[in-house]
Amino acid sequence: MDLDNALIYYRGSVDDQVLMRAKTSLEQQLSVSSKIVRKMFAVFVELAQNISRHSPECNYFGKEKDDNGVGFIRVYSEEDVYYLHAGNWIMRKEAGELEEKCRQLNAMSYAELRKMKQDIFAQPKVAKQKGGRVGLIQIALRSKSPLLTKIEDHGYDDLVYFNISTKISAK
Amino acid sequence: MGDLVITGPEKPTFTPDVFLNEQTGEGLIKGESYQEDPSTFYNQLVDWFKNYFANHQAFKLDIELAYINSSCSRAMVDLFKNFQEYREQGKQLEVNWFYDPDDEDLEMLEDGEDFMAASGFELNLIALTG
Repeated sequence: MDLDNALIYYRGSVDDQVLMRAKTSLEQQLSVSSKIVRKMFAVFVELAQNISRHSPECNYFGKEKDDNGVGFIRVYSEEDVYYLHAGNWIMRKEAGELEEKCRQLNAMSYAELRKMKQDIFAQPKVAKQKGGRVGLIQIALRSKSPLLTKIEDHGYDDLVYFNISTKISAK
Repeated sequence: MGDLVITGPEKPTFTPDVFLNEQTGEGLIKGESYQEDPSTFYNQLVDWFKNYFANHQAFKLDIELAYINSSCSRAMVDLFKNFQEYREQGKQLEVNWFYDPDDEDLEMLEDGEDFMAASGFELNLIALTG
């Protein structure tokens, strides 16, 4: 992985404090409009919180388990385009479903994505449900770019490594 | 019951400032909201309004957010669903949802529209000036 042009590279467990530091880092490094920074941060948050909720990899402090999942997020730029790339281990059976969901979202118009978000929010929240169930939709709306996925099979029975990325144009 | 005030240097920036005044019947929620688990924060608001409307008839709330993540959006919609129930019980509850008109994508305006559609609660969508 080329880290030379990385604005942010973080690997570890993701919590609210990490997000606050990422926001400060983006604001300090980028000279683009605050609108672009806000969009990038919005996508960063959704990617990070997906890792936190869904990655089966987690840290232990002695015998104490940290409930926040572990993964990586890389933000980098090429000319006027900013790329956000996240990856984490995921259960093999979930990877195909997630890839298919991204494919479905990529085929939807902006208006259809908004309607889907509204419909999900209109439904009652399921008890113990993590998150708002619209993280991927929110990424698609804010980036206005396709969600690209890549599944890496490292030969484990139950786990594969799931990569997701998108881009935001600074123009 | 008293006021609900959440602000100050100890408050993390991923939760908005909150000022809910029992005496005046007016309030403000302002800032950003992107905590991963919004339940603790938003439950405070739900509980405060539940107690407030047990003894009062009207409230006017201004909401001025620069950014809200999807988890908090869900919590905000649930708050607005509660607000709709208060309205249906005859309470007078006015919520002004402010957005930045200089944002060419009008993201916070769209969020306000989406929250209305999902909750059934009518917001006053108002462009910030100055």
